Amino acid sequence: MIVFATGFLAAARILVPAAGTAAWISALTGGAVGLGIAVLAGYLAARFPDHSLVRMAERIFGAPLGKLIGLSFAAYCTVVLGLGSRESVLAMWIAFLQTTPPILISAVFYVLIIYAAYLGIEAIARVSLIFFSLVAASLLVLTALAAPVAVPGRLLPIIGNGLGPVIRAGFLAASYAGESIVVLAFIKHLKDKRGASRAMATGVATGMAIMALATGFGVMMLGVRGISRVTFPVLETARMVGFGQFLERAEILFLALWFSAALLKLAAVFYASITSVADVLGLRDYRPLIIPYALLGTALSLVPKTVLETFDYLDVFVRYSVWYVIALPVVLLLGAVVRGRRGGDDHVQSKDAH
Amino acid sequence: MSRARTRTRTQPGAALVAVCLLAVVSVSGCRDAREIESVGFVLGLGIDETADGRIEVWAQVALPSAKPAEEEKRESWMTRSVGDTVWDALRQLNNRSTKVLFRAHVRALVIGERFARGGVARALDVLARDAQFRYKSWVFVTSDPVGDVLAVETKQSSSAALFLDDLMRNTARSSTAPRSRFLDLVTSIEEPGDQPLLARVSLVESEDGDGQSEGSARMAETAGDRGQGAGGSEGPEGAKGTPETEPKELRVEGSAALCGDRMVGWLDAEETAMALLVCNRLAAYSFVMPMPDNGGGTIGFDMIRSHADTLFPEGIHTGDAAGQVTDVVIRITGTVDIREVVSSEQLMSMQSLEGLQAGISQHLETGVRRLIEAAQNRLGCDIISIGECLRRRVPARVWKEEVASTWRDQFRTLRIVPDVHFEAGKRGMTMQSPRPVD
Repeated sequence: MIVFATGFLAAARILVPAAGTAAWISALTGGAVGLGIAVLAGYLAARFPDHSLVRMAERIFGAPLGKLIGLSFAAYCTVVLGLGSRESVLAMWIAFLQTTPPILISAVFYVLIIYAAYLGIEAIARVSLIFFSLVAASLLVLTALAAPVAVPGRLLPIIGNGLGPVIRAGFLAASYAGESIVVLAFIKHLKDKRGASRAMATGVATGMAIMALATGFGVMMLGVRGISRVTFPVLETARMVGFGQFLERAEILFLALWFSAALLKLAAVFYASITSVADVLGLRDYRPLIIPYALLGTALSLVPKTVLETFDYLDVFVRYSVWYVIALPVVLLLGAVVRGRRGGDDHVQSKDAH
Repeated sequence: MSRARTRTRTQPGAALVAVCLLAVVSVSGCRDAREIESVGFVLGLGIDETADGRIEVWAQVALPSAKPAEEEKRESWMTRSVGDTVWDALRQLNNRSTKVLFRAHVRALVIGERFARGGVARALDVLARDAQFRYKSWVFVTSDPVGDVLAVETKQSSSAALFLDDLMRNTARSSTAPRSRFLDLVTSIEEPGDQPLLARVSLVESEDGDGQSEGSARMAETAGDRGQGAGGSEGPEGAKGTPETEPKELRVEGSAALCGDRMVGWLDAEETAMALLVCNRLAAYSFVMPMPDNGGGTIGFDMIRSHADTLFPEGIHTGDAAGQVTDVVIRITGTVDIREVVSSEQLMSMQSLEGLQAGISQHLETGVRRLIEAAQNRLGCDIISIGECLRRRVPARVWKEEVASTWRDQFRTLRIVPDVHFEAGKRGMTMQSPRPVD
């Protein structure tokens, strides 16, 4: 859910102008890059089974550099949180709650996120387990309902704007897949560390397959020019489907599920941010950080004043964050291998355990 | 001591309950709740242009009522306004209505010919931005006064918009009008190689005179309202609804051809069916033709399957030849079922059957040729989606940079050759017509 829950609302807007009709292939290409990132992150988790990302970095590169890496990771999570919440709030505000102040929607989001963060990662994970199947089922229903309206010919030419643009767009899509590295903050809670790679890879593959499906159907229904024009392609797709005269204007049902998924993703990212900051600051408990960080997140999510500004920030983030998410596990893994570090019974681990 | 502890423990719970109760009052939305009686559900929207270039908008609004349907004669009412733009006219509608106009249930959007010829994009922008408006609404163009079209009542439905909705949902069998939805219009005006066809709705004399008296009365009333309404003095010449004495009904047949967002002409029912056939959008089609080979009499068919392929010269996939496409073959194959034979020729020999198949193919080929001629010369617009077929075959860059901008001119000079092959399928439950002995 971390991979697709917020990104798939508007990913097609970014991928289609770059790759054209082959945007869905770009999403799959991005998924392949994401799989690589997931595998590297999985190796890292297996090498440091009881460490959070900040502790891994400290263990590998020493405290000062490790804390710096930890801060960069917390900053990355904060940006994901800010942009993700802004995107979700905008989708709800523009399409449904037009007279509600966005700050109020944002506040409700953050109240729920705060509650989830207080309960901890186990509660978030368990609720996600329930909602994932509902969200996946809603997307399958949407796909089935969209099929009669879709024009498969709009996916031609299959290679879209050409091989180069498809690969470039693939790297944009990889930034969504790369958001999976957020789990490095709490992967130490995984029971079976050896399965970390497989678990992350499965998540990335599923998330990017959903994104490819959403993008492909968006192109089939709205065409390349149409999808580049609309604010939230997936919302437009949901608006167009129906089941005869029996079930029409059902987008609110889909939205209810998707926003629950977005909420859970943002709660997980929020949790990753505050635990990373707590690790950097050496705090025993992350909970005192929840309220200040939620205020910071709310403020950050309101930085982009307009929709255009939000999408500009999103474009920049998607363009450059992919390199960070590739570099982070590579640098950590290389450092660990070169310096021969692995999770063990040293002082860092004991501190972590403490 | 223990009671004090208990009180302390229950305090957060009490506070939580208090907060929840407060939230129920303040954030439930009941503060400015909208009752269903105060909402005007717009079923049909009409848009036209006045002679002086202003925009005229009609809304047919459902009237929800607690009264039984028998008591409530008028289940919908119509309102109209004039503005400088579509949005300007729409907001004036809102200002004039005692109900909050809710556009999520618009079934039919009827566009006047003058507005369509001036460019429908003027209406698309405001409707595409509107989160309420439904993309699955049917879009029609009419040469009749838009207000009169929306005012027609029939025995089947008291609302013209609902009638048109039912008609479009259930009349796929005839396919003499495209099933044009707002979504199709929005996506196709952006593609020069896939120009939109919009269903034509017309007012015709009722063949069932007494059943239409209500509609007639309503039209007269609407025309009267115009003179008294706020925008009455600004009534258009093109959309003037003269009170008709003859009852009218609605007919959906034929189509309006658009080039970009501007209407360039009409297609009759047969041309429309041929256009849908060429674009593989013909759900079903029935036709009657003279018995071939001088057999005398007529024969009627139901087209049960058809498939059209647009064939380009070799090498088109690389894009090198895309700019120089001069010849295109439209190959159409399909099957028709015999539904009626009014002839002494009963088609009982293989030779007569082959002659029939050749005759059907020739009949349809003639129709396709007539359509191609209309598209290339009369309309000058690619309504048969040849450009879209080309776009799918060539690299996107070639289409965007080299072909798209000049496609309309290139289309007019193409040599388009129809190649139609149909076969006769089932002939029903009898091999020959029942007839008396001579």
